[in-house]
Order: sequence, then structure tokens, then C-alpha cells
Amino acid sequence: MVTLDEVDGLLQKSLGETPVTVERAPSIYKPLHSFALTKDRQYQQQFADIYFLRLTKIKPSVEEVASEAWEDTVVGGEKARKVERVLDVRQGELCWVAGTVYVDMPMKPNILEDVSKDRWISAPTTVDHYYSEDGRDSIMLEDDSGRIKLVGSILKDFFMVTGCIIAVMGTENANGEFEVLDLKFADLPPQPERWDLSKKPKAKDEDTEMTDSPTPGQGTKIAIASGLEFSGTDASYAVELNLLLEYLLGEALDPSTQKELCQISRLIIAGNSIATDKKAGAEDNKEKKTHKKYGYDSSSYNPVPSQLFDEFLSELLPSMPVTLLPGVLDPANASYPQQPIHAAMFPKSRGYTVMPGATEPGWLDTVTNPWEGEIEGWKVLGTGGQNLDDVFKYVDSDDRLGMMEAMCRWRCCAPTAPDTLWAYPFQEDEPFVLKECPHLYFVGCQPQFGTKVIEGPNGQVVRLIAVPSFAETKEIVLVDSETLNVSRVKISTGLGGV
Amino acid sequence: MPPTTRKSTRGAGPASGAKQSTLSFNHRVTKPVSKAGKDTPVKPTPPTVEIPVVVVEKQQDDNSRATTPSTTAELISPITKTSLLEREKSEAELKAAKISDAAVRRYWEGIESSRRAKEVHKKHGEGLTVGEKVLRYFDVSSQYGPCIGITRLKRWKRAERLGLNPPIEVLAALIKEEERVDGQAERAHMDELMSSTAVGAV
Repeated sequence: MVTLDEVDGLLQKSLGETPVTVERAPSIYKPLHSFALTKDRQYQQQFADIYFLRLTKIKPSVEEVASEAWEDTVVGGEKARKVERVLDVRQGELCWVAGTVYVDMPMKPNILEDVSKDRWISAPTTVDHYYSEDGRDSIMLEDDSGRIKLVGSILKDFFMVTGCIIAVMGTENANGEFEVLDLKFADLPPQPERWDLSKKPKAKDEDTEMTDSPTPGQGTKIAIASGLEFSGTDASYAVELNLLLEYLLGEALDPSTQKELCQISRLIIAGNSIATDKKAGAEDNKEKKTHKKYGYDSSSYNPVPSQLFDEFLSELLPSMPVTLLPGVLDPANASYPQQPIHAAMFPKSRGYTVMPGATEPGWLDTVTNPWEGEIEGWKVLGTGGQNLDDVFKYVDSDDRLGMMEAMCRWRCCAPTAPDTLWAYPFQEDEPFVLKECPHLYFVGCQPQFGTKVIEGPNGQVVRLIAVPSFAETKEIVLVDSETLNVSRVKISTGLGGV
Repeated sequence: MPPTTRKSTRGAGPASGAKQSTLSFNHRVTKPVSKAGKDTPVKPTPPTVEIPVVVVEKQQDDNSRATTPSTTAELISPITKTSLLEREKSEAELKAAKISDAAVRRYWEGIESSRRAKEVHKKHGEGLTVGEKVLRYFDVSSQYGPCIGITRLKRWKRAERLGLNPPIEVLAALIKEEERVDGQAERAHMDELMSSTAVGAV
């Protein structure tokens, strides 16, 4: 009988050492359902309630900041007084008042104009930007009593969008406009301590140091990706998507890199995972008779993108928990806050989700957009990008991180809802107002990566991250869970020059 | 040709997903029957929706108070428009129920006396009770938010929750008005004017 040792060139006997298995770091995770809407929600109410709720919730803080700042200011021999309502401002009198900003822009989509022209639009017309170049925009301050126009050179120093709550000090001039001398925001809300909601894992004692698995909270990383945009037609970044999967799984890499990779405890996908087919729009121009059954044209639906995404998820999920936020291109509702993508979209990955109504989150957690939660003890607020993109259209600036900072200081993560950002008509409570300051605020589907740390008046520290869209930049973001430092990972195929 | 099987007509199911108010056959009392058999489980509703939760509470009460007047009251008002009679559970409402008519009148006289000008259009206020006047004043008090598209009770509760301290006399007047005219004082008068459709309107 021939033993294995004697035969050469065929199977090799195993070398005797068991391969070292590296374990992924566990993720300490607690999602909050602040933006979840009930299934039987009503749409009969007016949107004015949203503005009322926002003003009522933020006005006390703004007035506190303002009175502290302007308590003893004397300008031109006159002391600044507080007035209760916007219309109580008197001409020539120095005073300060708090209210909501309304920016009147002729290029904003205006429903009244569309109705008067007898054009019923089904989808909102997308314009690149709403601000007009020649100064036709006017900024006004509004509250439940009325509106007053704001003028002043100081207004150009700040971002102003409809829906942010500010306090202004100044006086009314002869034209009936309010000349602004100084401006104040509510600034960052109080920040909770780390490990406010979830339990901090106990420090490792020396007995367990033998295992290779990294402990949570010691250099574990959170990966954030967005704009994966799985598409049936566009394959320019398909190789990078596959490489991303291999990277996250740690396949095809040597053990030293794998040790680093097993530090990644969770992946957050921040929107736009499934792209719409861009070619479908061009075909609509031809007047071909579409076969309609049950009221929708089934031939225009392409299931390939969601299938590809489902395969991606089902391969990644056995190894890593995933939090999935919907984006503007994803199959979720069109208005803000977007509700979680239904598990029916992912037949393969569905097994990793929990039943609706379960208390513990599943391994695959489909969440709302925007989303709040606690990861590794840090309070995290994330959105899929619509709020920042809409604010971007209001101001003539490229500073997206500055706009994110402004949103935190206004204490409102979607100030332009419901003006230009479609939103649910909240009546009881407006969840876009930030009650507590997050430690980490990320916005997905941005054209470029950016990060910044901002500080608040009471020692709050927030890390802002603008997550780039993977389909454009082929980059994802890794956040260290101890220091909240950010690193960027770029996946490229090196096919240049051909 | 008419559909051969019943199944093909059920295709319209998903399209009519909107909830319609249904008749409640659970409490048709035609003869005295013990309440234990009638305890139909109301489907669990999310806690944010106020009204169905109250119906559950009411049914739990039914076990202790087996009286027909309360069930007939439920029979008349469908679930979407429960009258305030059934909702005397919250603390504020219990407190408001104790406030007398005289207290409400005194509150109204306090408001009227703080105005410098006298009532100009007295004839418009002739058919209104003091309670209704108090409620209309509450409607136009914009510091509690817009009055359109929300019931007066919800608006009062929302104002209290946000810390705006709405006067308790308004809640008392609301309860009394609800008792007087069943269901008519629920929404602001202005709301009914704004949402009414004129005859012949397109």
C-alpha cells in the first residue's frame, strides 16, 4: 500500500499546524427608533404644525443664549430689549427677538405657481440650486404672529436656510425691514456621556488575554459606506464593489492585514445601495404602448440591482453585522423620515433580520433615514444625505462640512423639511430637532469625503463625517471606536494607462 | 364576461389599503348577555395613537361596570370619534372635570375685562355660550399652535406636553361643551369653516 508520504506531486499532507482563526470584534449596538412612523399614520394634518413644534422646542434655548449675550449691550446709548413676538418690533427701537427663518427664493419649487399654470407635477422638479445669483432672495424672520424682512451685512457670514431658529438683535428701519446687528443660534444641545444607553463591557482581566479576538472598545472600527449603487446597467464600479466585499470579509489578504480587518465590528450603509436605471428615462420619450397590469408597468421594473445588493449582503452578513439606511435612490418612501427598507427586498439576507416588533436588533438592521443610535457607547446620528443636499441648494457655498456644523448648531438635522424637502406632517412631536448632541454625525452619499471636529460651549465634541458615495469615489470610511478618528479606505483596481 | 372565480376580483385588495371605519358588531346588545363572552380582543395598536387605546381601556372597564348605557354610548360613536365621556382617565381631565361652570365664567370675565375696548359685534356672540367663547378664544391663541387640522383636545394636550401651560379652564369648558352637543365642539370652528366644501364647488 502506498502511503501519502511517498507519493509526490499529488495531495500534500497537512503541515500539522492548525490555521489561526481570527475572530471579528463584537459590536455593542443599540438603535433608537426616534424616526419610526406608525403604520396607520394620518396625512390629513397641515404642515404648519411642524414649524410650530420646532419653534416651541428650540425657542427657549435660543432665548437663553441670546439674553446671555445681549443682556447688557448698549448700542448708541440705547439698551437692547427683548420683544415677545416678531410684530412687536417698533421702528427705531433697539430690540431682539427669536423666530424661524424663512428664505424667499423665486427659484424654489413653488406649488402655487404650478397650480396656477395648470401643471400637475408628479415628482418634484430637481433644480441644481435654489439661490438666485442676482440677489432676488430675501431672508425673513417668522413666528406665529407674522413675518419681518431681515437685512444687514452680517447675514452673509452665516448659513441661512428656511426652518432654522435664530435670535436677531437690531432695529427696524424706515423701510419696515429689520436691520440685523447680531445673530445667535441655539448652539449644540447637551451631550450625554459615552455609554449612556448601553452597558460598557467590563475591562478584560488577565486570564482571558490568551485569545486572539480583540475586545470591544479597544481599537475596534466602524465601517461606513454609502452610495454602493448596485446597478443592472452601470458596471464601471462593479469590480470595486466585489473587492470591497473581499476586503471587508478579509479574504485574499495576508494574516497581518486580516488582524487589522477583524477590528471592523460593524458596517453602516448610509443610503443609495440600489441605483435606478438611468436608461429607463430615455425610453419613455417614445410613445410605445406599455402593457399595464394592476396599474403599473411591470416591464420597466428591473430586479437585478436589488438582487445584486442582496447577494452582497448575504455574503457579508455571516461575518459582520450591518445597519442599512435607505437613501434617495432606495426603494423606501419618498418623504423624510424614510422608513426602513422592507425585508422582502432581500430574500437571501432576510434570515438575518428579526421579526418586526422584536426588542433586540437583528444582525441585519434595516433602519430609518435619518437614524439615531448608540454604537460602542457613542451616540451616533446618521442620514442618507437628502437633508444636506437640500441645504446645499440654499446656499452659495461648497462647504458641506460647514453646513453639517450649522445643522448641529441650529439643533435641527433637517431644517428645510417641509419647505423643499418632502416630510411627513408631524403633529405631536418633531423628531428632527436634536434633543441631545451626538458624538458622531455622518451624512452619506456626498460627492467627497470630509471630516471635522466641532466643539460646543459646554464641552460638547462632535465628529462630523461626510461619507463619499462609493460609486463615484470608491472609498469607504473607517471610524475608530475609541478615539473617533477617521480613516479612509480607497479601493482601486490599478487599471490605469490602458 | 363576468369573472369566473371569486379570486380574480380580489386583485383590488392592495389598492384599497386605506383603513375605512367599520361598524363594530362586537357590542350589539340585543339581549342581556354576560360581558365575559363579549370581550373581543382589540388588535394591539401602537401607543402613540390615543383613541384606540382608550377603547381597550373602556372594554376593561366593561367587566366591572356591566351597564347598558355605557355600551350604547359606544354603539353610537364609532371608534374614530369617541366622545370625551369615555376618556376621563388622564389627570388633567379629572382635574378639569372638577372645575365648575362658575369658575369658567369667571375666567372668561377675566379675559374680557383685560381688553380695553368693549365687544363691538355683540350680536355675533349672542348665540354662543361662555364655554364656546372660551374655546374660540383658545383656538385663536396662536401661541399654542395652529388650530386647523387638529382636534381641540389634542391641541390642548400637545400644548401642555410642550410646557406652554394652557389654562385648565379651557379643558373644563371643552368637556362641558362636549357633553352639551355631542361631537360638535371637537374641532375649532374655524377648522370647520376652512375645510367645508361649498355646494357646487368642483
